[in-house]
Amino acid sequence: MNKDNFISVVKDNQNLIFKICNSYCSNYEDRKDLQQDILIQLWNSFSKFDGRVKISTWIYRIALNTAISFYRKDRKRKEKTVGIDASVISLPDYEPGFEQDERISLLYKYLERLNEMDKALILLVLEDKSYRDMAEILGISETNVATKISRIKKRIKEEFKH
Amino acid sequence: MEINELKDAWAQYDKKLSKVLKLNEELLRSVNLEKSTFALKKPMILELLNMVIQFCVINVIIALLIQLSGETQYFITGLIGSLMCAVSFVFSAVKASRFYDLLYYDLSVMHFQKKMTNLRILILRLRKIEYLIAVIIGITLLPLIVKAKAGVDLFGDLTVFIPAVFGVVGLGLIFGVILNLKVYDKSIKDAESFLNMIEKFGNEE
Repeated sequence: MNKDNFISVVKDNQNLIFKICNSYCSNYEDRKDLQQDILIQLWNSFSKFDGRVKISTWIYRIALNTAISFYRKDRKRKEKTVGIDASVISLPDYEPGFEQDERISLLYKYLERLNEMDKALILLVLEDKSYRDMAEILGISETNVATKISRIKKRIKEEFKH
Repeated sequence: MEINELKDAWAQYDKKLSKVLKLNEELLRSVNLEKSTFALKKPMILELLNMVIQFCVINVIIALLIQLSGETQYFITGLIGSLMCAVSFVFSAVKASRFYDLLYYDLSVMHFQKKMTNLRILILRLRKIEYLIAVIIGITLLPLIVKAKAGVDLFGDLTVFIPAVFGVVGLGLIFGVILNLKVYDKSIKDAESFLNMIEKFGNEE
């Protein structure tokens, strides 16, 4: 894949990358590093895309796998893979205090408290992915997805009741 | 609040992001992505490098043994040293091949994380053994090198050599126990608990 195609794919999916980074890292520096890791993994993987799964499923897998692995790295040993000092995907006019819906702020705070896998599932639910897509991205059965979602609905109702 | 309300809020947030998010194309174009990809492969490259080093050490030992042929004590220490290097070589080969198999795009999140965590546990367990191996290699190679390069026979005066070996082994063991308890065991436990969480996540129906 050439760089122009790659940039166009990143552009089409920048919202997704931004939201995943925000969900897995609470501070700006970590988010920036994670964003770079995701971009490099995407670049590294794109030449191997064979169309067996949808491109969006492919991107979700790479982004979530990178985010979870990044999140689990020992912070002391966390090393930069790329020497970029600025964010590639950013909110230039709003950073660092991008004003957002209060519900979104609460949602991000809620996501922070979840374990890595539940976080991935809730992100996919919020993204309105089908059960089949969620099952394919996460690697669990559709029945399992359905069970988890019904539990999530209850938990969210409880969490956001006020 | 119901999940559907949150989904609506999330969709509105996504629309807002589409308007304000900026991709710094210039920055992305200026980055040497190939070089960065290489940096991601660093753990695998380090293992391959370790294999090259171990291979060279084994060859050096063989050369020293040829030089000191006929001296049984050096033959035995050299043999032990080269066996330890061979074990270390195999460990590195196993790790390098497992790193090579770790593809971020090929597996679902759950399967990838399981594979990644199992590899992490394997690396930590091997590190415990590798530490011990490094101590043994050091002890077995020292008399061989000193004899071949300086002509000094460390086995000549066992009253000095044996206490020195016990001293090094003793210190190595104390340091090893601390390292195991404070670093490796803790990290293994953490990785195992993550693995259990993933298993549970996948098994719930």
